Amino acid sequence: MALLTVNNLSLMLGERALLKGVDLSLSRGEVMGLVGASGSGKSLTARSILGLPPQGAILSGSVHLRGTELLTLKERALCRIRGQDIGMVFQDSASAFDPLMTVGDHVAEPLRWHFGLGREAARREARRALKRAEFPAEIDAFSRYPHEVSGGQRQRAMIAAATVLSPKLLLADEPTTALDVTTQASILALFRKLASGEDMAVLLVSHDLPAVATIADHLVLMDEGSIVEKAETAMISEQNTPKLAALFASARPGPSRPVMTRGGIVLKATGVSYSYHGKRALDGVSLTLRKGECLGLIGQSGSGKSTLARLVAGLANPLEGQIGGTGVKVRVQMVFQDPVGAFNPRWTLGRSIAEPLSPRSRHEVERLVTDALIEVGLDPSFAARYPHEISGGQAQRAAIARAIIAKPDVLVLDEPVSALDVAIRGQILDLLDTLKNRHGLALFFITHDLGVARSIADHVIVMQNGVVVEEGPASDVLAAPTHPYTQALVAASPSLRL
Amino acid sequence: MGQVLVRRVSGLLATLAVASVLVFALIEVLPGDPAELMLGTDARADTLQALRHEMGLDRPLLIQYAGWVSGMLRGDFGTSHTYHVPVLSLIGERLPVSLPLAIASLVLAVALGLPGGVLAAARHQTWLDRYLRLKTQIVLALPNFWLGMLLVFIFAIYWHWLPAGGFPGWGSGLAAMRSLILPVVALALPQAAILVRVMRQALLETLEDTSVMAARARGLSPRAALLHHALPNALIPVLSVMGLQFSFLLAGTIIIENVFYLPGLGRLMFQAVTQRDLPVVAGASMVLVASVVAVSFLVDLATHALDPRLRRRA
Repeated sequence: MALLTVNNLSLMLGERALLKGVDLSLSRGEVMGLVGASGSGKSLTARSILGLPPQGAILSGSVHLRGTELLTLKERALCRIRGQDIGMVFQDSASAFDPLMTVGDHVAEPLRWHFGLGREAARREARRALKRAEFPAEIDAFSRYPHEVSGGQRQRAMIAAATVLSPKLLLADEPTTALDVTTQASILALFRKLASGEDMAVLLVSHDLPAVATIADHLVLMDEGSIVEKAETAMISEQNTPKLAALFASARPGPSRPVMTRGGIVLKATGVSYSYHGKRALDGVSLTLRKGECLGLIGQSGSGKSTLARLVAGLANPLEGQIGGTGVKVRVQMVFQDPVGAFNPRWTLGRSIAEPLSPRSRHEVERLVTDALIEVGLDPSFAARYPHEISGGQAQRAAIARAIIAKPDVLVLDEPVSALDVAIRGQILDLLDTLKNRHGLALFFITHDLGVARSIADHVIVMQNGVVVEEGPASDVLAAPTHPYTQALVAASPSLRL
Repeated sequence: MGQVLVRRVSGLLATLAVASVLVFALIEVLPGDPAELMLGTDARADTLQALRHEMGLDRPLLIQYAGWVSGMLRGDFGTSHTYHVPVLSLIGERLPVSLPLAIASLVLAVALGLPGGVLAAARHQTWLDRYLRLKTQIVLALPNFWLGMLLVFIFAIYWHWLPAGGFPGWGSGLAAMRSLILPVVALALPQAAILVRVMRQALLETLEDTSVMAARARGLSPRAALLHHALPNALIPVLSVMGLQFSFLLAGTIIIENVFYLPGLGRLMFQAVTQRDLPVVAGASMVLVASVVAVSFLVDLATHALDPRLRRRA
């Protein structure tokens, strides 16, 4: 018998129907992947099951947890169920922790709150939960505050806090999105282990289908508040689920790019080093950017890739080594990860896009902005809009328009697609590829996602702890990596294995 | 922590040094010669000259400044021109009125403001929230001397419950406390209104945090999530505001003590300015500056103690 049965669950927020008749059923020991684009209602479904929908939302339908109807339950009874029968893991562990409380005390809190355990007894139990969530034993969770442990460790502590009372149902909302590929793989494995070993039912909400597919028994695809497809993961290729199949296909990297005749050198860095507060961030890094070529820089967070991006963009100067163009002045523009945050919220997009331009007549500025918008596939009317009025994908297009309006030679792109949905990701990559070929741009593309690197980069360099460990044509490096670090990255990348 | 302490203390001393230069310079550019003021306009030139010499006014500025600062360091703030007694003893007489006035006002403002703000945030967008917002808006719009006069009119003149002004001295016990009630209320109400708004806003912001939602997901009741997680985080910015408010309250005593005829530091300063009693003005200013600096120092230390993100960075 199913542990959780969701029937015809709908959610209205004001006039808008955000969930429209969602049906789900999940048994103990099972992992279900709930996937879909942002805004498809997958996170709302998880929050509604927990009885914590956004303020003012009206729920209808039914949510049964082992025979108990949750939707009609009083708040007091729901409080007993949350934490005890249902645990929840959130996406961004940095903001999901109270910064004034140690990570260990977060794990101990449900024990004290639900069972009235004393401080020491609660901590003893919490240690057990931390161990089960594979929180490193050598770190004392009760003397560390959330900002003093790594993202992966925080996520493990949050899983410990969600499972400390051994709930039957574990909800996880994008639990690995903010993590490196290797950490992501081990956290996903932990969810699988909790489902099988502790007999929990796990509902995994994610936009990353390939990642979820590595551990989920079932896959459920949501779109605009409805479930559009369900499939057994093991039989995905045999079932009639065209949308899931399409999503897999769009996440799959395109065919490896043929190595073309190489363009002239635009920018060269030799023996570049950099330090922050006495800590070496870059050590003797060299690279070459060529006309009409995309150089992919692969590395995990902390590998120094964003530092290198800043140096190449001229936002900081290297302590040692040299970065420079060959003879003539090189124009460099940069595109950032968070497209909406990269715009001044009080400026229209047109004003922001025109900002890099040298002074010229209003008429000419308008013409150039219109050209740039059309070039990136946006309607010229976007010039009058504000950043909050457009989607993430549109904002990233606008950011690219701002970068190319000054006719740069080099475009530095720092994780430009990692904040975007998979479907939009492909469109942005296509756009960048077109621009590169049309204008002979040199792209310096920073990413932690090997699938993305393979689909856009001609050449790649792989960085670890501020040192380049491997480089070469993208197809060679990603198909047959030689350095153990690259091999580990490739092995941990679900999107490459498809 | 030790390093932070050293840095803050040196900052505190530097602020005091800069303040002393400013106070001295301001007094120097103030129009009016104190010697002339004491003797009257028809004084003989040589008498005036002799008095200026006696008061040290004919010495170079740098020497005057050095003398003033080294005197203060030895506990000698100079002698009042009007009362002919040491400035420090004048200030010493007045502080027991002003300091309790400011502290009691802060305590009252906090006692009204923090619970008010928490209540308004917890009952966000209910009649209570709207009522509190309207009330604080009205109080904020009132200048505090006018509020003082209003209070006097209602509680002293109309109902005869409390004295309208004056201070019988601490020796009179209860009567002394009664005479401070209205000034304390007049000073505290606007600050309480500010605190209600700041506390409400800070709490509403932290209530939106994922960490509060995560606490609810662990099974905490709305009230427990607010008290254990949202409130401590919201209090950190509010604490800084409270530090600033204490400075406002000290400065506010200048007006309120005049409205209520209280023999405090504020009234002493007001009189000294009108009488060109420069040593008193300078000394009282320095005492005010020192207490403001000391309070912001304490607030800094408290913030460091409360927020682990600041604590360990040092």
